[in-house]
Amino acid sequence: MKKLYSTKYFKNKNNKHAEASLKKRLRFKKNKKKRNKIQNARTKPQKRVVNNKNKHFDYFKSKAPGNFSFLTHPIEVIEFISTLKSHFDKKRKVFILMNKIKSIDYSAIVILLSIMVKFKEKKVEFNGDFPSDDNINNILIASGFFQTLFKISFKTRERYNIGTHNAIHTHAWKDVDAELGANIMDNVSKMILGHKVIYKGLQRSLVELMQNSFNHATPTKEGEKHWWLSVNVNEKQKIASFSFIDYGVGIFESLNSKKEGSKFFNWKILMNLFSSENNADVLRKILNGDLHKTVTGKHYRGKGLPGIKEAMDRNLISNLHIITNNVFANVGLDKYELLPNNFEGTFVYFEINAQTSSTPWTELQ
Amino acid sequence: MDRITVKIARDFSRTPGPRYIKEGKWSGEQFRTEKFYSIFDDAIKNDKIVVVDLDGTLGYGTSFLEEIFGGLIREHHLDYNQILNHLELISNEEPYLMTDIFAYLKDAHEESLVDNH
Repeated sequence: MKKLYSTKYFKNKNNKHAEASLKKRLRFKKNKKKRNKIQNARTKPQKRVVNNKNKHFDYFKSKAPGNFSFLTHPIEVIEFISTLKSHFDKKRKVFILMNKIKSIDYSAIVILLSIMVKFKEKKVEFNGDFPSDDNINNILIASGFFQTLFKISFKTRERYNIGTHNAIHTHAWKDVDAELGANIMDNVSKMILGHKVIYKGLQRSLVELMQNSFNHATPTKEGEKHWWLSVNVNEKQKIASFSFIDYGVGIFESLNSKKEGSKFFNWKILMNLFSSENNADVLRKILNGDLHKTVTGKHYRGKGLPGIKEAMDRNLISNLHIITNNVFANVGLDKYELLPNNFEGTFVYFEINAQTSSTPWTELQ
Repeated sequence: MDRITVKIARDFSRTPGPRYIKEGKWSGEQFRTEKFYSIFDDAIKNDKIVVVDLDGTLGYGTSFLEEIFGGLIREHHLDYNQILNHLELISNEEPYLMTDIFAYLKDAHEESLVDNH
């Protein structure tokens, strides 16, 4: 042994090092014991969530709104959509934190599904954790969200049908599908009234919305963007809710982009809009047919969006809401508000209930 | 005058669709070009009344109706007054559609007058 190692100085140093090392090992052992205790106490789904978190360390985490409803919390939902859009444009992997969602409604389902499919279509990784609330989890399961999310082979399609026919069903296409209304009407009327009837307002609203998306979602090319429709029937309350969305440019951007030759070119000048009038006032005018009447000099005769409001006024649909660009409208309550942020697209919500006017079903002779 | 009845739900589709063929199935353009124009043209030539029965469908988008009636003037250049003289509408389920249709015809007529000048 070298003389150096037998010196008092070295022995002291060695003892101190051994003590420190022992302390470190004991501390590590204690922490490991604690960690294992927590890990072993976790249920399998809880373990899966923790593993997923570690597995997705390179994903951009995006927190879903606590109250996930486009109807009651539009500002937070638009913020969420904008964040995801920004990640999507940069082709960033996204992990949605859903465990803190306190409440969710069907307007959120169509958003989650449509955004997830957009990511999957472009082969950009999209994942998320499970909501801690069992009811919210069940709604997402019924909507087919997890089934589509964890599908190993996802095929890009022109048309999507997600979910179960008896619960929440989501459809997506680019063209106008008038036949879709027939299947929906059949299910909805039987669940609400117990027998088959015709909801003329439902058919009109769906055709007008699909046609609007086909023609106006992208100013440069028709039929470019998908429209999405989620239908849910609450059998207990006898209410069918319809959430329709497209991620086009939105109503005001579409009007602003009208080219020379279009009757709505220079619509602002033709409307002689007062500077105090904002987009919320304009949406009210559009739905009442005043925009069409002023610009074309003719009565609007229910064409397009005013046709849907007309259907509401005739009790053919109810609880109509529209969110587009920076406007939120609860049309049923005649409440039109400006939003602080901008939604690139158009979202329309309406309901059919037991009091909605219907026409008896007749077989054709 | 003889009468020819066209029931859209029976003779075309229970789910009438958009305005143009390119927009989707069961469009107004398809109905007008494949059936409606020839029936109407024949009725005018042979002095018959065309009874258009709008009942029995699941509902109409407004563009479908505008296209089939307004299109007779815009695309096929049928005479507005001749159309009125040979047209009868049935719409018990949605009576307001009749007002709309006569207005579509009037608008198309007025637009054709502007275009001709």
